Amino acid sequence: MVKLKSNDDKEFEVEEAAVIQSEMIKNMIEDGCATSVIPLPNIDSKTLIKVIEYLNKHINMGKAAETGEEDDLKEFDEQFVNMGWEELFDVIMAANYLNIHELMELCCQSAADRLKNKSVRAVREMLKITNDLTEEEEQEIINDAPWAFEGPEIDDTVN
Amino acid sequence: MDVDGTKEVHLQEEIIMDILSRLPVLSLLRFKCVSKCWMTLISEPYFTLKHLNRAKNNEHSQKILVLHGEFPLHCSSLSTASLSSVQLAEDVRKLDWPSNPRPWRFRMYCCYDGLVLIKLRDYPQYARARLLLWNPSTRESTVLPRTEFSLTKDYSFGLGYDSTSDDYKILKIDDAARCEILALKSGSWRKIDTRPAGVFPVLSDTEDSLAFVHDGEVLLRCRDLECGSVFKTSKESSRLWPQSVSEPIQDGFVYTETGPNIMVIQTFEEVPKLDCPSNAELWRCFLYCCYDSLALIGVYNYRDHTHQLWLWNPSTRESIVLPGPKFPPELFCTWGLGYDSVSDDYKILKIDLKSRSEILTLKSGSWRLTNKYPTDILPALFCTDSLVFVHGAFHWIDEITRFMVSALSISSEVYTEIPLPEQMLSIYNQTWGV
Repeated sequence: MVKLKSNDDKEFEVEEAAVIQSEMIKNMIEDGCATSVIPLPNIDSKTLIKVIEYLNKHINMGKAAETGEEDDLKEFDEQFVNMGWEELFDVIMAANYLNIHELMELCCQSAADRLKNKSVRAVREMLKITNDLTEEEEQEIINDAPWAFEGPEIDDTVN
Repeated sequence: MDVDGTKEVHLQEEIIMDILSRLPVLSLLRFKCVSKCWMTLISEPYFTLKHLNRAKNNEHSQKILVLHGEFPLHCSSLSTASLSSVQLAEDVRKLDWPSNPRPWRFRMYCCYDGLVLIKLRDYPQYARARLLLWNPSTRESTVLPRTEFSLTKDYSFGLGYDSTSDDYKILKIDDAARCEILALKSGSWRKIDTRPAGVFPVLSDTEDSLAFVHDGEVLLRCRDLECGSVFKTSKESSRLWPQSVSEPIQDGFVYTETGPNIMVIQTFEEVPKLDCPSNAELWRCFLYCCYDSLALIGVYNYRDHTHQLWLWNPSTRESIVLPGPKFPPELFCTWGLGYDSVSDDYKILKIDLKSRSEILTLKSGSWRLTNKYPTDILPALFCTDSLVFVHGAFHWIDEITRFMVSALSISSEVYTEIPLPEQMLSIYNQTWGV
């Protein structure tokens, strides 16, 4: 077992087989730096719980293909990314920090899928981005490719 | 972390880039408007490259380009069944066409990395032909500099990316064997005079684009040799290599140089794995298709006109003779070569005009009929002389009036059909790009 500590001082025990999906922790264990608790100053407990949930489910990924559990895993992944933007980005940042490639792929692809057909206004609102372009600059971008701003597929809803 | 709930979601630029690189170009053009940061990010060359590399591996971003009549040019997505993204070429942005609002006709030569080489011509002045490099996703295009030799002759074009100089290069060869090359960054055509005289390329109608294979090599056929020759676009010297396959097969035959720059003198004994009957004399050979730097070549024997299929690796110059198909290869049959990752094997698909199709798996060494092909359809395989292999399936248009692209998955060997936009009445040319 490996002990992880979130930035709000909560400790979690994780099986080594699960936790080594994180390249960062795998390297620490190999270098003998994981004897006691591993502090994770960038990750809060809420996010860490999500990440551990993923790691435990994806333990022995190779086996899933043999035993036909691929569909089960796919369903889990779909459920897993069904979270709010802030939570999703917290998980992405944690996955990036811990270097968990599969989790990173899953979450970034999910973010991209959700953004794909959104309108500019919806993107700004969803990601809470302040528009710092002047009206002229904005109009120039639109004039460069007006067809990118028209079309029935563009979704102006925020979710 | 989020105290007041209105806090901006802070992500490292690298992560935003990762997410954005998964989006289609249309979304990116729109999202330039989100903020200054996003605009800068999307415009960066590093991002463009990252996006391109990802798009190459994503089947949903594969596009088929179909040239329709004289106008317009449709760009349709292959993967979506609805093909809703039909767009007209009249909307091409930044088209710097001198004075005349509408060119008389145009022709699409080749595609590479999402760029298309197009020739526009003004009626009635042939001499005013212009070459354009067009990006159908962003609808940007640039007019290429004038070529040294006129555009009225027959010629072939090759478009490829040279990683050594980080530049796209365009090779033009005309029927008088004059060739010139344009490095996009330099902005001017350079004649390649190191090419051997006396070697004339065969530029048939079906070969108006040069096959671009790995490592900056361009394949073409030559008239006097009837051979596959290789141009290295990345090498400034641009050597022409008459390859082993070009030479008449005689024991111990040594090809003598016809020009100052033919680099390779080779005998057939030096070709490994070549198992060829000793009495064979090469008459003609055809370059059918290329995949993964392998080329499928048909060879006709001079004496009895028998046909042999060779799989040839131009880089190592190895070639193997493939078993003969069940149905004799007639002049009008179409070939596809692809790699099946499921069975870890190369497969070759052959379809003839009588809609008989058979498949060869390289490891098994024998042809099998794929009888699932709808028998009442006689394929009119005029659009392309090779079946296009993208994303684990061969693609071709078998009968243009049906508005369908047929596809055969290489691993499951199941036929599927993808509809083309209905607006198409006639199709002059058809080609594929990423």
